[in-house]
Amino acid sequence: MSKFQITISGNVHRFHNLADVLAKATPQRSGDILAGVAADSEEQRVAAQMCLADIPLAEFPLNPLIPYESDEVTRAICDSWDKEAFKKVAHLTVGGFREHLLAYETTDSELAALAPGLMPEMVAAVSKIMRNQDLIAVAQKAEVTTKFRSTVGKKGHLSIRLQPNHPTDDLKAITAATIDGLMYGCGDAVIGINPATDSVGRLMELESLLAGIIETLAIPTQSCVLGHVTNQIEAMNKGSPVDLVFQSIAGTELTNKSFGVNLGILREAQDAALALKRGGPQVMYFETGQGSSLSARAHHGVDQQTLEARAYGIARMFNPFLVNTVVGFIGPEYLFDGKQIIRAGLEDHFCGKMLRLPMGCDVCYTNHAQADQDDMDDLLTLLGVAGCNYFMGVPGADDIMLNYQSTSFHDAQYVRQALKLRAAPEFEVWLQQMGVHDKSGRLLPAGKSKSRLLTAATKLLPGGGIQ
Amino acid sequence: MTIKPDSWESLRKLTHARIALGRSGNSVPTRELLDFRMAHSRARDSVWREVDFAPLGAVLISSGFSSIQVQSKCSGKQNFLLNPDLGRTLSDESQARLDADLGQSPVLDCVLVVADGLSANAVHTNASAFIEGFFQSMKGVQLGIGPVVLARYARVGLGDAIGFGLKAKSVIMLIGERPGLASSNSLSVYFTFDPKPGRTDADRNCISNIHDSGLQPKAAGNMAAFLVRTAIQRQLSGVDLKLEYDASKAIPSKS
Repeated sequence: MSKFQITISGNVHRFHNLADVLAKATPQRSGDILAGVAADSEEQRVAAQMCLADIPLAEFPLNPLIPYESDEVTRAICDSWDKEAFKKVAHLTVGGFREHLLAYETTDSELAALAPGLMPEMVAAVSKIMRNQDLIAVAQKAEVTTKFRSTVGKKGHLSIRLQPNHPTDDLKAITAATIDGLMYGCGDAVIGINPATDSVGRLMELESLLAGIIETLAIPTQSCVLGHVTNQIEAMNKGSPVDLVFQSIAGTELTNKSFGVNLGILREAQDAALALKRGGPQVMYFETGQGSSLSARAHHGVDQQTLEARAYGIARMFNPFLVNTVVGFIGPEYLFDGKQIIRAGLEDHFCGKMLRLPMGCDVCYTNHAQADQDDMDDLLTLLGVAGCNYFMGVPGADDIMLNYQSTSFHDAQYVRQALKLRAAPEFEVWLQQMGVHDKSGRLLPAGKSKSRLLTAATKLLPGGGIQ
Repeated sequence: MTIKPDSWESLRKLTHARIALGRSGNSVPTRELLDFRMAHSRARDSVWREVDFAPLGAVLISSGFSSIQVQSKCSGKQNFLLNPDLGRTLSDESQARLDADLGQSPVLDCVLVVADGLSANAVHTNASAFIEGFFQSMKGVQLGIGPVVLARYARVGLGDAIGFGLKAKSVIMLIGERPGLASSNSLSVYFTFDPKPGRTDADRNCISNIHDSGLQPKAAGNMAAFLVRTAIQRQLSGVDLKLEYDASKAIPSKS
């Protein structure tokens, strides 16, 4: 198969198939080494990138990485592929596609028109030969906005998911962390809790807590309790006030099966949330992350970054309000250090944006990875420049329930101010009315309106007050 | 004074989350910055420190118990962090040591494994109190326990390989948890009846968060002994084993 080989200075580099070229062309990361699919030398990696750069995009539909017959993710990608939209780039190789994306002429509207014609694997392929600055420069062109109560993703704006998790789902503790986040200008993407206990009863309890806070304080935002999607469906059936429906998804049918989901269940969840008519038109919230398929032993010999892009292929079928890659959560056997986490975060954001997803990123790491808060500052800043739709806001960057480090309310304030980014338009107005932010987005000292907000908020503490 | 304290500091008593930290400009005060870094440094040290089993071995000997040291197939910490499967498999040398020991041992009802996992500090700080509690609650119970196995570069699954290697009826593994910022020396206990390679979490019972400001190590040892006694009596472990644990009855009474 001559298209999967290349001769450089007399050395012939042969690759088995498209999946092999893609895997070996991937910038180094521990998960691909663990899976046994990575390049065995730096030279082989670059040879694979050179080989990949010469492969026509038109080859991708002819070479599904996981068979159409055995994987519903492949079927979804192939069946929803828009050949008309693809025509614009049908003549290009992967290398030519990179140049096309970088060209001045390729504007946001061009990217939007092209997106339905792009398969996730094509986007993953081009990302592998791009430098970090390419991933930033091209992603920055794409403006993907979504609306529930607030509008997220507008150029010049940056939203934050307020994440007030608690190890026993203590309602007072969660409320206290929520108030802290609001007082720091966070929560315009969503106020979203990862429950410690994933039961229908617990979800309903947390959903009504958040609905109460949002309603009483008239916050232009939405809530989500990130339990299993089937529990959320049941909660909705029982009349729980669900704004966004959450689920973790991945790029192979088998991995999704290990999560206890399939496309049918996701459709059922979307229909149920839309029927509630609490906001929209977008109602879905997806989380992803490189390495999940290897972790579930369901990677089919495909590299983790390409599989991540395939997860986005599913996500876009559900017109989601939020999608984010939880980039460093999975651990060092998949992304070993700050360098690998930063690269993966930039790739994921780029691939998601090329598929017109409202991409956010949980800029994060665990304590057994070779990373620290400085690496998070780097990725946060880089993704801020790239136009990331939202980040996480965790009290002091320390999630006391999930035991990992993410970005804090202070970090949100830093990146917005450093890059002159504003909160979601509706939320920005609310923050100014409440005396949290001034017109330029700086935090205000305690004043009358802020005290009023604080008094109203503390009254919402379950049991009525602090005592 | 450029630090702006937050006017909702009173909320701090409701949660141990890092709220109402105050700020200067957009950023946390220096004290908070360094406190966070200190917590992270302890967690990192705990992951990367080599476990020292010598003090624990000495404690065991003075209490009348022998121990065997084993190692997974991992060659070092980095290799351990990068290859979870190797951490679930015994090295050839350790396998041979268990095989040799098997020749001399009577049938074991339960083997106790102490493992570094992701926190050597957890073992250094809390394992001996746990073991004291465990054997206190096993006193007078007619069960063959055998030598305590001390395992380096170990994941939870290594306990199954050890139990299987010693043909033990069950295995109880005390292992260092992945450190959080709040605690870098927390232990977990995993119990498996009929251990063998390929067991999953559904086949195990777990007690977690064992450290000085969580579940007290000695009390956890009492609790683990109760778990072992109950499971061996009922011949099962995992999701099918429901425990009604009463701490006041964990230690056999003196009368």
